[in-house]
Amino acid sequence: MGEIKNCFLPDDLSYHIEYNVWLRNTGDGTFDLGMTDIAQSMAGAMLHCRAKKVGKSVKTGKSLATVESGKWVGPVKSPFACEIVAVNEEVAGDATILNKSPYKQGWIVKVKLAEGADTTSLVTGDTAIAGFTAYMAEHELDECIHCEGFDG
Amino acid sequence: MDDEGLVTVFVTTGPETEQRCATPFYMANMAAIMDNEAEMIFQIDGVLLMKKGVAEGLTAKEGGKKIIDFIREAKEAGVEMKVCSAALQLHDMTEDDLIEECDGVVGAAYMVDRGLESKMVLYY
Repeated sequence: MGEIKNCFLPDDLSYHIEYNVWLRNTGDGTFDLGMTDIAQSMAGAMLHCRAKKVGKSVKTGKSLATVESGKWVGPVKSPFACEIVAVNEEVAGDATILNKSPYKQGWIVKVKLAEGADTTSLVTGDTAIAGFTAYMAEHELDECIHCEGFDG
Repeated sequence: MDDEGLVTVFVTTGPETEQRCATPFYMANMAAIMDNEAEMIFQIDGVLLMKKGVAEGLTAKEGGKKIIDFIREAKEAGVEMKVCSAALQLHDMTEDDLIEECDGVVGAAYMVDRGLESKMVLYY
């Protein structure tokens, strides 16, 4: 488990630094995608998470979902061209799951790569740690904040 | 920004109804974040929200976030903001009175056209 200032970054995931999202290759041609511990800490207590519909094609850099917290509203952007094949209805019903379980229960959408999609912007391991260290410095984030029940 | 469609937000109320001032920017911001082309058009007293020095002193709720911050967040998301030329005259304003976040002055035909082109129109 990678860690930067109390922010957890599981080793088995890929990340997109700028969009602050993680991806898990499920091995069947799809990826689960969610917000990082860093993203949930920056947003604070989540109020709503609304994903686009299953079957929707999303271009690189476009919104897969929209998240609202008490102090922030913003998109969950796609690192590559894809199609949404599943939406986590649990998160849609209770957005605080994104705070409590960003890497386990808190996947937001499952996506399938579009033909010819470019995944070179994804990083892993030490490259991800270095990227997020710079990201946190740029956004002046001191450390991650974990609510009661956080499951890492 | 315009993958989904056009959302136009008409704002006709201004500083006299302070509690109404944040929501139009929040909704336009959300529309832009959801990959829509989002445009706000300020008419009647709404044009005062685009006047220099006004939004800095306004909050929808006492102690809440300033309206100028809602404006800046919406701009960052890509929202276009335009004012009605007749409303400028109504308030004895010129283009020089408008904040830098404002994208220009438009006439009635433009507003009707944009309303007709929209997938969704909101009025405040």
